[in-house]
Amino acid sequence: MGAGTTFQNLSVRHKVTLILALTMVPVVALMILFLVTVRQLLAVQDEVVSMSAAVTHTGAILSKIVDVQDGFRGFVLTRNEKFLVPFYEADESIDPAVHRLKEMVGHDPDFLSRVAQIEAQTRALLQKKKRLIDAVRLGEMEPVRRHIESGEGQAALNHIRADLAAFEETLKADLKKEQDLAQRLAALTLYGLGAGFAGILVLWWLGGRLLARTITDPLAMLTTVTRQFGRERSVAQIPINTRDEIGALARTMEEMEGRIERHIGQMEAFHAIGNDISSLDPGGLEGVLKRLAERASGVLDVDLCLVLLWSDTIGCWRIGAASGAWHDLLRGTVMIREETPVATKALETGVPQVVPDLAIRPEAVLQIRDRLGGKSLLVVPLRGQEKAFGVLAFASTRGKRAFTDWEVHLAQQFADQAAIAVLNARLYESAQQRGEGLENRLQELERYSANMAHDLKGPARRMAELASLLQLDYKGRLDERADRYLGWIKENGQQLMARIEEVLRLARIGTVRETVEPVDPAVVIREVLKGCEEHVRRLGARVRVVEQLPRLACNRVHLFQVLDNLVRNALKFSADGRPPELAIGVVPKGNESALFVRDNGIGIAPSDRERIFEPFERLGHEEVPGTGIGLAIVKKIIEFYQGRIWVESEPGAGTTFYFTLPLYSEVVPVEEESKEAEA
Amino acid sequence: MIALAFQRASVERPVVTVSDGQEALEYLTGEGPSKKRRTGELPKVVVLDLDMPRMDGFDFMQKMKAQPELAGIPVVVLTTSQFDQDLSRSYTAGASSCITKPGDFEQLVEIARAIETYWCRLNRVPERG
Repeated sequence: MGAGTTFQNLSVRHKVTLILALTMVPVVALMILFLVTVRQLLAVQDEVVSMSAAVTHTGAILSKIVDVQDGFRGFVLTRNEKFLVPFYEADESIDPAVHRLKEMVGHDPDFLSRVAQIEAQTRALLQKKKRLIDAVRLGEMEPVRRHIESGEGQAALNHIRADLAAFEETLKADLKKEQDLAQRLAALTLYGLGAGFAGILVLWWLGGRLLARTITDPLAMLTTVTRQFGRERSVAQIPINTRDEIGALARTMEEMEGRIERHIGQMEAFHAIGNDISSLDPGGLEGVLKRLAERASGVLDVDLCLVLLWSDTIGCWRIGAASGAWHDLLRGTVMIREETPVATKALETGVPQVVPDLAIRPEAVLQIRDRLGGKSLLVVPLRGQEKAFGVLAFASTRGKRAFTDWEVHLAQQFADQAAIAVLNARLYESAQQRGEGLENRLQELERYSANMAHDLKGPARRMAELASLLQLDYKGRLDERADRYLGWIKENGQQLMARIEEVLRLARIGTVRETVEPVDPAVVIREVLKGCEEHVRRLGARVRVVEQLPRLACNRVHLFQVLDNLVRNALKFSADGRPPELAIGVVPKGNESALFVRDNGIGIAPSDRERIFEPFERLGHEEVPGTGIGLAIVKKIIEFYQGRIWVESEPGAGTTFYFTLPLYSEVVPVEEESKEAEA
Repeated sequence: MIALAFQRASVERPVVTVSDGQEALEYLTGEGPSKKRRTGELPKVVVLDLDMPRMDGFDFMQKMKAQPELAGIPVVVLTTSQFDQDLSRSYTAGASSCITKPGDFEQLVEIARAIETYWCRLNRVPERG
């Protein structure tokens, strides 16, 4: 395991080098070995070749010597020169042959000396023979006869022959030895090569395995783990424990996964927190603040988190919420600005403030330190659109704590999100409160005025009725003045009734759902004009109505009320001395059509053009009869349909009222609408 | 006021006036302590003001129409309201006719006369028995 561990701890570069060396060194060694063996084999084979050549030469020399003897004998016997031809040929060829033999066996001094001996003998023999041949040529046969008789020549020849044969035998024995050696070497080379290759294969396999185990397998595992993390996002310990680059990579990846997981977790938590603290229910703004404090303390894992809201009106901090049990103790209480300088600084600068050790702060009184027992403090501002409106204070009460940059960052991120939630909650709550209050008061007022109007109607009616009863019963018995007064009482009572009726009508617009139907304005205008026929005739008014008017989608009675009021208004405010001229028609205004009622009356001053739509605004025309509520009703009806009404006027020259109501084609099937209304 | 109008209209048949819905119901059912009607004689028509103390017109009509022997009596509603909704509510509750109070005594007398003429002389209801 020791070697294994050592190997495991090597770097990938060293591992690869080692594995390559492990596989390459035997290959190189084997090759060197092979080369050496082959060289040796070649040398041995060279030797074998020269040996066998030497053997052949030895044989050739022997045959030449035999030729010398034969030639000599023939010449001596016949004195015929032609027998000497082979003698001289042999004589000539022996020297080179011996010379070559010497070359061949030159490496062995023993062989050389033996060849030299044979050469000397051969030369001596040839010298002798030549001398005898010369003697024969001179006719001296005596020496030759003596030579032959002595058998000296034959003995020398035999001696040489025997020496040569012995030498040949030695050579052959040597050759045999060399051949055996060559064979052994060849076999050795073959087996060696086979074994070497097998060994190399085994080494390669081992090297491959080692490489796989130390490099490729871990890499594959890293790939798998990464893929798995990408799919399931489950952080697992990567089982790679080497101390090389891959091990480091695995650790880095683990860390990275952990960090990704943590960040995603934080993001999810943030999201959840965002949803949680942003939702107004339960508890509205207070609930938001409370959840904010709880969640914030959880985010940084601190034992106390305060939501401090700056109150501009009293110039103090108000504790909006606190985490845990602190909430009930602290909520709503106030902290003095001078006793919470860290929070104040965060508020004023809009930058997070960290105090690792509150004990060494110079201030005499620090609320969070002295009242709440905070040891360390982190304060982040709750930043609004323009400036911070509060802070989140994270306090560690159990012991000192150094808030890291990351924690500060996290806290600020959280605070930014929380700030939006708080602002939203505040806005919503105040808007709701205001809206609810307004609506309640409005409803109350409406109810009150409707009831009052209704209650007034009875007495008004009775007043008129009683006045008319008096008129009936006491006709002639009262004086003319009393009759006139009674008439006024009756008229006023009836006028009051009419006015109350109008007020009730105004109040009712929009409160009761009326049937919306396609209405032809021309028909309604005819009805309106019929209603004020007499009035028109009396004034000598001329009324022009455009023939083609677009159909409108509204309640027929509503349109009647609008047009009736406008027409009566136009007739009412006619200029002195000229008969009223009315025009009713339609003009395109932008992408909608506006109906208009135009007169040539007294006109309306620019300053009054808004006021005329207010109830009971009579603009000082007290002599003109009317309730002063007609245009208010018109406006309310038009606004009920989300239309617009406006007036264009030139004082003294006339007035034009324009209004828009939904065109018939603009609305969805009328049948459905009316059915719904009926239901 | 309407009683006075009936009087002025020279209506010869008896006109019984009660002050509120409760009393009217008691009169019709014959249970009331105050005005006892003779058995067998039910009014030809009930003229009803919707605004009454104790029991308002709608309650009265509902209770009246719930009793089979009273359900057939026509009810004429006198109202100050000119709104369709109040009118339709009256008819739904069982009114046979609705008339807006005029605010003029002479007209009121005419109305009383018309009611007598139409509902007591011309109008026919099934004979009970």
